[in-house]
Amino acid sequence: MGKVLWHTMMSLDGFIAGANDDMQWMSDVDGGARRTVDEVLGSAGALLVGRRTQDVEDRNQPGFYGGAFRGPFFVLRHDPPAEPPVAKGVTGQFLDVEIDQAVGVAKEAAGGADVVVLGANIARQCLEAGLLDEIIVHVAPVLVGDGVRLFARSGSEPVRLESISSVNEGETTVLRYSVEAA
Amino acid sequence: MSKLIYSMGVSLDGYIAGPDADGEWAAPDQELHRFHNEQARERSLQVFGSSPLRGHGLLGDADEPNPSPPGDQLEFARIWKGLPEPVFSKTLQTVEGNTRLSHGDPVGAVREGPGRCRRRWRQGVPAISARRTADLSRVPGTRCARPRG
Repeated sequence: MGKVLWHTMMSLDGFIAGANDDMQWMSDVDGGARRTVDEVLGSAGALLVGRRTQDVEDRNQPGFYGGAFRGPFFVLRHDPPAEPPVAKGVTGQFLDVEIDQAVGVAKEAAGGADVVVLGANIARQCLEAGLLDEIIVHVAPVLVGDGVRLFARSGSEPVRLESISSVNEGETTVLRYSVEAA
Repeated sequence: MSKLIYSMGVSLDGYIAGPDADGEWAAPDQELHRFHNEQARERSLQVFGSSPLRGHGLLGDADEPNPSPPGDQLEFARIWKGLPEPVFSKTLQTVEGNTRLSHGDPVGAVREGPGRCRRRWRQGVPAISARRTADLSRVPGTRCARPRG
C-alpha cells in the first residue's frame, strides 16, 4: 500500500515560501546529487497539490519536480476554474471535495505507489485527518524571514514525529520523519 | 579571533518556543545533552535576551530537592557556572547567579567583548529545556540565572 508523503524545501527559519509566495530564494540552493528527490520520484504514483502551490506553478511554470514527474496530479480547491490545470505539458485534475476523498482519489490514481502532497495547507489538512504517513523536508541554508510557514496552526498541542533519517545533500539537510508511528 | 554564534533548539516547523514560551518539547535526550556540553566548553561568554532567561528562571520549583541529577546535567551545570552571562533587558531589575544585568546596547557590548579571546562566544539560550535548567539550580553550589521581580 502506498504512503502519503509530504515533500518540501524549507528555509532554516521555517518558511516553505517567501513573502507573496516568492520561491526565488531556493533557486540557487545546491541540492547535491538529489538522491532523495530521485527516490521520491521513483516511489510517487500521484501528486496531491494545494491551491497556492498550483498558483505558483501557473505563475512561474517550474513544473512539479521541474517537469520530471509525468504522472497524474490533482489540485484541491473549492473554486475550480473550468479548464483543468496543466504543468509542463501534463494535464491534471481539479478536485472540489473533502481532504479524505481527495487523498482517496490520489491513492487510487497512484495504484499502490506513493501519493506526494505539495503545499503547507493541504499537508496540514492531511496530517490533521490522520492521512499523512511521512514528512520529507529539505532544509535550505537560507533565512527568509517572512512568508508561508511549514506548519501554521494556533492553539494546538505539539505534534510529535519520529525521526527516520537525516542526510546532507549538497547544501541542504534532508530530514525525514514518520507521522504515523509517533 | 572569537566567533559569535547564534545557537537555538528549534522545532521542525521553525519555532524556538511554543505559546507562553513553552519549551518542554525541546527537552534534550542524553546524546543532545552531551553535544550541548561539548559546545558549551568551547565558549567564553553567553549573551542572553531576557525572554529566554525568563523562561529558564521561572519554570520549575527550585526549592524542590533533587539529590542526584544525571551526570550530563551536572556537567552542564559546571560549565554554566563558569561562564560569564550578560543579560540584556529593558525590563528586568535584578538577576541572580553568575548573570550580569545590562540595560545597555547588546551589539556594542559584544563588539567590545573579549576580543582577544580565542574561544567561542555564544548568543541566545542553550537548547536545554526550562525544566532541566531548573533542575540545575538544585545542584549544590550552582545557581541558574533567575530574574526577580
